[in-house]
Amino acid sequence: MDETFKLKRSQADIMIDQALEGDPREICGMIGGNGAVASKIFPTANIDESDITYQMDPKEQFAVMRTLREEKLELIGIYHSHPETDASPSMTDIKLAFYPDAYYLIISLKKKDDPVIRAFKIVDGNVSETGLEVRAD
Amino acid sequence: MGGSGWDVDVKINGDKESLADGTTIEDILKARDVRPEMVAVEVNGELIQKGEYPSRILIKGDQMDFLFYMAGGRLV
Repeated sequence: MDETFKLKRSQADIMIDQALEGDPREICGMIGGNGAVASKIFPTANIDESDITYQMDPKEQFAVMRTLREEKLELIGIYHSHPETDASPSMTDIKLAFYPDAYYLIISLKKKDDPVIRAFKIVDGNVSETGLEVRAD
Repeated sequence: MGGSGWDVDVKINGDKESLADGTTIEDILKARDVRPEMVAVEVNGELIQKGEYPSRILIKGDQMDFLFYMAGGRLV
């Protein structure tokens, strides 16, 4: 069974603030860390600039990966927002999930004053929710 | 992977590797069972166009990085 994904309150807030600022567009980013514990959040641009899809700029992805390598961290998470829908992977999310070792975090702004984050593993089209633990800083 | 058999020392995603002389980006992706349309490739920090994958040969000291696209959304 996959481990519960762990991040700090301030790290969750970075993602939530980015989602609220980007609303109604979807936002996205990458998470560095080790195992299931987040160390650093890397907000990235959504080059689709869309309300219903996201795509990261490969050049930005490469830059983050280089930073992770330099800091001896791994890519452990990929996150994006769903401005109007639940924090569940869509068929598009599942089809385009190419990182079986990463946790996929989705931030739902369905209730704007009460954002919800959930974490999943997506492996060969199979989705499993892993649980998410937000710790005090 | 074709070539005349000389080892070519490169780095792929940060790891040292020795390749046969003449190895292309496409060869490297195929050897890893990676479909070219799913990835972006950089060599020495330069983004490589997909059309060049079959012809771009890595040479000694090259650093190749590839990564899968990160995309999705609530579209469907």
